[in-house]
Amino acid sequence: MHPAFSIIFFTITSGLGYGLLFFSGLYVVLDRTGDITESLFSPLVVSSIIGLTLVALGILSSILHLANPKNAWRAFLRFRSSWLSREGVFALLTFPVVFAFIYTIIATETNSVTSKTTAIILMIISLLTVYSTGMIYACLKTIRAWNSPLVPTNYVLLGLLSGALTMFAILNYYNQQSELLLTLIMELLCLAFITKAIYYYFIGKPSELSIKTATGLSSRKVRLLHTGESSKNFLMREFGFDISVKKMLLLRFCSILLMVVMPTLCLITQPASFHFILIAVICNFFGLLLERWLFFAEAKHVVNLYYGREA
Amino acid sequence: MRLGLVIDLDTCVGCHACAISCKEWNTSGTTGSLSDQNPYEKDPTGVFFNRVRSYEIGDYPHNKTVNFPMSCMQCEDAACVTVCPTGASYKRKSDGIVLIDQDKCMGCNLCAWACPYGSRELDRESGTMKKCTLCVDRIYDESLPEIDRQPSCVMTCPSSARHFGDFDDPNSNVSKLTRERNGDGLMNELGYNPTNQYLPPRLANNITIEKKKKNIVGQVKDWANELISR
Ligand code: SF4
Ligand code: SF4
Repeated sequence: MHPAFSIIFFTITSGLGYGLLFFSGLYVVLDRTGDITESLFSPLVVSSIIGLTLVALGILSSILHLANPKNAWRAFLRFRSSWLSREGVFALLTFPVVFAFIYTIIATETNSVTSKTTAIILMIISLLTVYSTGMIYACLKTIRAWNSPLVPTNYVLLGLLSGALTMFAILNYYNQQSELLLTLIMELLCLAFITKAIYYYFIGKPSELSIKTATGLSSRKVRLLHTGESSKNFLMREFGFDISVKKMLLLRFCSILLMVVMPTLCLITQPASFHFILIAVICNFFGLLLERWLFFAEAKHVVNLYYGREA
Repeated sequence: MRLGLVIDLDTCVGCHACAISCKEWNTSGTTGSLSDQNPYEKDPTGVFFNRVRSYEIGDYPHNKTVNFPMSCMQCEDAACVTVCPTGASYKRKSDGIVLIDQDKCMGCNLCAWACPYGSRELDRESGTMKKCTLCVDRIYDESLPEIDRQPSCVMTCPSSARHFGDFDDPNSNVSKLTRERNGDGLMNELGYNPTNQYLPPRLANNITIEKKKKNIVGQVKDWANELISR
């Protein structure tokens, strides 16, 4: 699949934003005493504002991807069948929820029922939106590399991971240490790495589809004689993206290195240094960019079979 | 009704007339125009509802060319419709035709990703998705003589490789052809339940090339020719 920068940027920033919102909510939910209002007040407000801004940036970038953006508002209309529509509705609902969340932590005690309920709603909607983003791709039977529950799992885990890292940086900036978040980050790093490794194993399995099954021609050999085109058409531009195995392996290695290994090293060696945490966040972000680019570049659409290519 | 096409892979000669007549009809039809970019320059490209590819099956001398026209299969379980967030894509209950409302489409491409047959193409000029309408603006047009109420591609095909009809009617031409010639849909394993059916090419006997024994005069001529060419 052609890796479009607007979609790559959208999935990453919105994942990161929702991760931040999720952990902002988690802090309020876990607070029993109500005294975090003092120490955590500013970091929580800041993290939810940054989270929401990232979500908004993501939505903007995804609208930029549309060929006919004036009809974008219609995307909320098919909630019942379309994951893209569901994602849009959840993303839209995020805005009032975040405003309510910020209002409750400013106006009420963090251990009040209202703030906890809002926080829980915020966490649920964050997870739902990122899950829906993953399902937009996972529901496509035409792209084997995407048609798997591993895809939304990866989206959710990577969104949470990048959000947790950024949350950790914000807390550190406000001189707050959080052992709990650090443990969670370490667990997320492990989980993200494992599911990504399983994903690469899954997409490495040979496909059962071929030019023979696609054309239904039962002869021993079927090969493309002529595409019938004198230059690239829409299908070739959209689906006919190729990368060499060598480049792919190199990029996979770099993405894992930046996304998982570097943050792990930074946080193991210097969990209290803001600079190191910042390096971890930045490395993770660029690792994610590579990971998402590969997610598109490696996925092969079945229509390629009709052009004599693999799918 | 379940309207669709039968495509005869045995008789298609790969002339692309269906693709051209489709473009000609539909560029001024309900989803027109079908824009082109650089039509007279180096890399011409544009929207087509119907594309013809050619394959070779078997190895020489047991080989054969199979020309393969493909357009929207008007699938029964059309994922292109379920993924559409705007409701621009829809499948008509009355005749099974899958259409795109050009006033609602936002050009997100998701339906084109969901279609296994490459039947949907984004028009760069209008920014909307376009696809085969089964000539919905002509098959019901009562001002046309009845014989002309067929899709443009079917009317044009010089080798009668394309047939149009109702698959719900077991006695329709398309149902009969599919039955008699073992027609089948493409990529059924994906579960889209395509309505259009393809008739497999008949495997012809090989043309054997035999050396005919020549008479005495012929043999002398051959010998003389060989001698001269040396
Ligand atoms: S062929 Fe493609 S565009 Fe046509 S109905 Fe099937 S999935 Fe939709
Ligand atoms: S491109 Fe248009 S028709 Fe296709 S899914 Fe998007 S809004 Fe629907």
